[in-house]
Amino acid sequence: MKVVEEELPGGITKVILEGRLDIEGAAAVDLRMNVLAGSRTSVLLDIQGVSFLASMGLRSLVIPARAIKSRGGRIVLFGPNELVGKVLKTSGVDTVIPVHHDLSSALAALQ
Amino acid sequence: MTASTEERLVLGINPTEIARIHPWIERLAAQYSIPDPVQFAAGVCLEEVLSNILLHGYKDKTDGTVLVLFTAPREGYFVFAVEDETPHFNPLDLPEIPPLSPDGEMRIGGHGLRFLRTFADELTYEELPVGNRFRMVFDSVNGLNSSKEKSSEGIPPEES
Repeated sequence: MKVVEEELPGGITKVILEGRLDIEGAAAVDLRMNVLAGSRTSVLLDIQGVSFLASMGLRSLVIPARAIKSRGGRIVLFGPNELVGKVLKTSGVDTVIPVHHDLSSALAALQ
Repeated sequence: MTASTEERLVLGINPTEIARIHPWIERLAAQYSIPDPVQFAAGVCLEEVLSNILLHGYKDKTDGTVLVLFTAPREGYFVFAVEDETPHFNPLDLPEIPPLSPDGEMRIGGHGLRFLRTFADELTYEELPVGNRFRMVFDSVNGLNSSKEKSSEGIPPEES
């Protein structure tokens, strides 16, 4: 599992996740995600490259999102594939972390 | 390709063993032509079932194994079963917790049963003399993971 951070204009941090967010992938990204969640208030989580997601991986998204929101910040998900989107929808995570398929709308949601 | 014999994966009871299912599914997929949506669905369901067994069923146990079985009895029809030696427990008896909602708390757990019912075409629980057997069917020809129109029905009736 790969994590890349990009600082965008407007104080937005883009976090690109790539790979399988299974139990192993979740363990690989959790620490970095939690550090990000404690220090950023505007996060675009690019999951276009996430090929697998289940309960274990959802924790890696929901825990940082909860931390960011508790500090008054915003987080959005960008670009899930169809199957990853189905997991987000089935769990209801898409109702608490907005999901965008268009980059400009994702960025606008963070302004 | 169909399988007249079972493929087996034996896992230890450390939760890190769950990571072994994904390369195993990939190998089966290459060998039995399992389509991508079924690979994904099987991964979701096996991760759910195994995490439940290893984190709860075998909690406080120091040794034991979990057996994961695979067969493909006919074209496009894939069956995974998980056998453990924990006390009898039917996950299908659990109440289904509602999905997260914008007004509710950002709860993390509790999605397992909903995932199973969403991604598998049939779910069957069986008590073993010692332990449990949980069977999941993925039908890539007529089921939820087929290219045909997706069904909005829940799980089909269990086999008698």
